[in-house]
Amino acid sequence: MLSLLIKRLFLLFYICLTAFSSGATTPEQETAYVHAQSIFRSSQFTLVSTNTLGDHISYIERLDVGQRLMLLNLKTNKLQVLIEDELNTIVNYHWVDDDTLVLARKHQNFSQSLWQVNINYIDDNLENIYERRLVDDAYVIDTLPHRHDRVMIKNYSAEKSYIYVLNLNARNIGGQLRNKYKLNRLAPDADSWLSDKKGDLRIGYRSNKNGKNEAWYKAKGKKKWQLIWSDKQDTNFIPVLLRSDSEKLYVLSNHNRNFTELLVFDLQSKQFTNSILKIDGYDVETVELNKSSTDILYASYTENGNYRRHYFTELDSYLGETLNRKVKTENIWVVDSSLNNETIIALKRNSQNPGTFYLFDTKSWKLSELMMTQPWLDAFTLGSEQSIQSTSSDGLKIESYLTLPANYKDVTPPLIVMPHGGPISVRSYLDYDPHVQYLATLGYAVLRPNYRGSSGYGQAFKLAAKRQWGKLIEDDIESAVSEVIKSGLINSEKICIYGSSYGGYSALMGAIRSPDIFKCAASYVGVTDISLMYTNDAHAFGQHVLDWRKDYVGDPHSQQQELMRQSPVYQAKSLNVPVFLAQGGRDQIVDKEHFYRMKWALKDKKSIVETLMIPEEGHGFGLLSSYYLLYAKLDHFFRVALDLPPPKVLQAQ
Amino acid sequence: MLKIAAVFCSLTFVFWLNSAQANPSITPLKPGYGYLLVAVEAYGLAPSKILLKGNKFLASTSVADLKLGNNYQLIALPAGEYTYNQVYNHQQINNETYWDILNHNYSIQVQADAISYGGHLVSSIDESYAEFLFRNRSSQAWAYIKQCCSQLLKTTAFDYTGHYPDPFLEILKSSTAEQNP
Repeated sequence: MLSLLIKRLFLLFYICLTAFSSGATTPEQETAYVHAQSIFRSSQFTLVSTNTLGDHISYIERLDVGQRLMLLNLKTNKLQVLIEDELNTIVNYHWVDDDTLVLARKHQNFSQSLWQVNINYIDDNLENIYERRLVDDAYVIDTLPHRHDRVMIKNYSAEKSYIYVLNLNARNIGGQLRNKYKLNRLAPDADSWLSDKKGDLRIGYRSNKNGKNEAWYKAKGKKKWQLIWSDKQDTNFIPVLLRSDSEKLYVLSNHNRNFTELLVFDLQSKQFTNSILKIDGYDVETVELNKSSTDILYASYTENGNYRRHYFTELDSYLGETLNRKVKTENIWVVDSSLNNETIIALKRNSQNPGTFYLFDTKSWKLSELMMTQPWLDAFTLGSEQSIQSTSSDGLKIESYLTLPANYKDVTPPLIVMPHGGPISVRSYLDYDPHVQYLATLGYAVLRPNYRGSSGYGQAFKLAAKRQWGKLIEDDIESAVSEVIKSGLINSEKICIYGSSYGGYSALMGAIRSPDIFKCAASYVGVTDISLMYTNDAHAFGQHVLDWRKDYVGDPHSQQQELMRQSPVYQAKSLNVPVFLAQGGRDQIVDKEHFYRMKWALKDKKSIVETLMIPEEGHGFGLLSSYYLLYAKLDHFFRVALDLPPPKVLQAQ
Repeated sequence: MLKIAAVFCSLTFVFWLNSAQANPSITPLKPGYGYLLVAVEAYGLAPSKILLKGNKFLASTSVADLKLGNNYQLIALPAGEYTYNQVYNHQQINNETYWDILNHNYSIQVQADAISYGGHLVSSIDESYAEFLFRNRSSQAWAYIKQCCSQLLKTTAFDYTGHYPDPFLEILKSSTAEQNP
C-alpha cells in the first residue's frame, strides 16, 4: 500500500516536473520545442567494433531506457545481447582478443571504472559471460595485440597518473597495481606514452605544461630516460609511432614551418630528418595506427571543411579508394578492423548524415551497410552545405560554410551567422552539426566562418588572431557575411548573429559594430567582459596561462582601455538591436558574472532583451531538455526580430 | 605546565580577537582594520566552516553558519592579505575532516578603512567529489552590500581587491552614486 502511494507520488512529481519544463515555453514556441526533441537526440547506434579475429562485431544500441551491448556473429548472422546496461554506464570498450573485452563504465558520481568481460562461446554462439571489475579511475591506452590477455591502462589521480600492464588471466588484479609494477614509476612526468610491441614504455610526452611541450625517449633495454624535445607550446610535437625495427619516431609537428606535417624524428641526433606527409594549405591533424599498432593506417586533415584520410600503404590506399567508390563519397573511412584485416568497420558521415556504419569483407571485397546512427533524421529534409571563400579587411583569406535550407530556391532564407567558440585553435567543419541542421530544417540559412585563429590552417593563420578580439576576427566574420550577401542566396535584410563562448561574445560585438547587418544577436554562454578573464581564478592555473592570455588577448595592466573598448558590457549603449542572453549557472569557463553584467548593462533596454538562465547547466548545456528550451526560445526570438512567419518544419517529401 | 597553558590561553585570546566576526553596522573599525566581505556560493553540501589565513602571525579568521546557495559575511579584520585555507566538512563526506585549499592561492587583500571583496568562493561538495573555485562576481557582491549595508557604504569605500583591476565595479558604483546623490 505504502509502495503504491510512493509510486503515485512519484508519478505526480514527474508529471508536475514535465509540465513545468515544457511550460517554460509559450504556445508559439511549441513547434520549435517539439522539433528540437527530434533533432537533439543521442545516436541509436554507437561504438561499432570487431573482435580481433573478425568473426564477431559488437555495438552499443540505445533504448528508450538504458542501452545494451550487442554481439553479432558474422558467420551465423545471429544477434545476441551481450550486456544489458539500464543505467547507461558503458562509455567505451575494447576488444582485447576474440573473447575478451574491457569496458569503461562511468558511474553516477562521474567516476570511471574498467571491467573485464569474458565471453564463453558454444558452437559459435554466446553461451554466457563472466564479468569482473578491474580498476577504478583508469582507462585503456593500448590493447597490446602482441601480448595475449594483456592490456595497458592508465590509472589516474589528481596528483599523477600511472601506467600498468594488466594480466587479465590473473585472479589478483589489485596485486598488479603495486608500486613496483608502475611502468612510469621512474619516468619523467609525461601525460602521454608510446610503447613497443612488448608493452615497454619508450616515449613519453606532454603538451602545454608550464608553457612548454616536452618529450622523452628510453632506448631499448635501457632504464634511463633522455629529453629529446623541449620547445614553447606554440610548436607542436606529438609523437604518433615508434618504429621498433628502425627506432624512428614519427611525429606531428609544425617545427620551423607554417603547417603541421607528419615528420620523421631521429632519436640519436634529436633532429627531424624528413617529411612523410605535407598537405598544401592545411595542417595534418591526427594519425590512426593499424590494428596491430605497427604502422600508420592513415593521417587525417580537413580540406574545405571535410575530413580527409591519407592512407599510406598501397593496400590501404586501395581499400580507401574502394570505400570512396562504393559509397560515392570521400567522407568514409576505416574506424576498426580485425587483426588479419579481413573484417573492416567503416563510417560514412557528412553534413547531412551523423553516421552510417558499414561492414567491409576484404575476402569477398564486399561492402554492406550495418546501421545508421540516427535513422529518424530520414524524416527531415536537411540543409545542404557549401564552402565560401572571402577576403578580410587586411587581405587574409577566410573559409566559411554556408548551409541552405531545402526550400531556399522557393523562399530566400533569413541568415543566422554562427561564429564558433575559442577563438584560438577551434574551428567549424562541414560535418553533421545538430545545431546547424535544427535551424536549417526550420528554414534558416546558417553561415559558419572559420575566422583567423581557427585550427587546421597553419601557424601564421593562428597567430594572426593575437589580440584581435572584437577587431580583425570580427572583420573576418563580416567578410564572409558580405560574400554570402553578394551571392544573393539569402535575404540580406534578415540576418542575425548567434554563437556560444567566444561566438557569443562575437554575436554581441557584431551587433554593436554593425547593427545595419545584424538585426539581432544571441549570446549563449558568451564572454561579455574581457577583464573578468583575468580577475577570476585564472591566476590559479599558473603564470604561463596568464602569460598566454595576455599574449593572445591583451594585458589588462597596459591595455585596460582597449580591452574595455572590445568588451560588450562597456559598449552596451551602442547595442540597439534585440539581444538574447543564455547562460548556465554552473559554467566554469565563462562564469555567470558575464551574464549578470551584460544584463545590468542592458537594464535600460529591457524591451529588446530576452534572457535564459538554467542554474544547473555549465559551459555548453549538458541536458537535452535544456537544448529544447534554448532552441525553442531562440527560434521565437529570431522570428520576432526578423519578422518571420511561425515555424514550419521542412520534412522529407 | 602552567606556562604552556598560559601561552595557549594567550594565543587563543589573540586568535579570538583577530577573528572576531563583527557586525559592521554596530562595531566601528579599529585603526588599521578593514572589512572583508566573504562571499561563498555552496552547492551539494554546505561546508560547516571555512578558514582564511592571514599573512601576519595568527591573523586568521573563519566563517561558519553557511547554507546552500549564496552566503555573505562581513568581517572586521586587521588590514593585510588573507588566503582561503581550509574548508570544513561537518558531514565527514569521504572521511575528510577538511579540504586544504591554501595552495589554490585564493587570496584577498583587506584594505584599512574600506570594505574589501576579492571574489566568491564557489564550493561544490558531494559524496565523492569536492571542488573549490574562486570567481569575481563583484556585481553580485555590490548588489548585496548596497542592500545590506547602505549606511556603512556612505562612509566606507567598497573595493574589489583581486589580482587585476575591475573597471565594471567602478561603473556600478558611479551609477549608484548618480541614482542616490
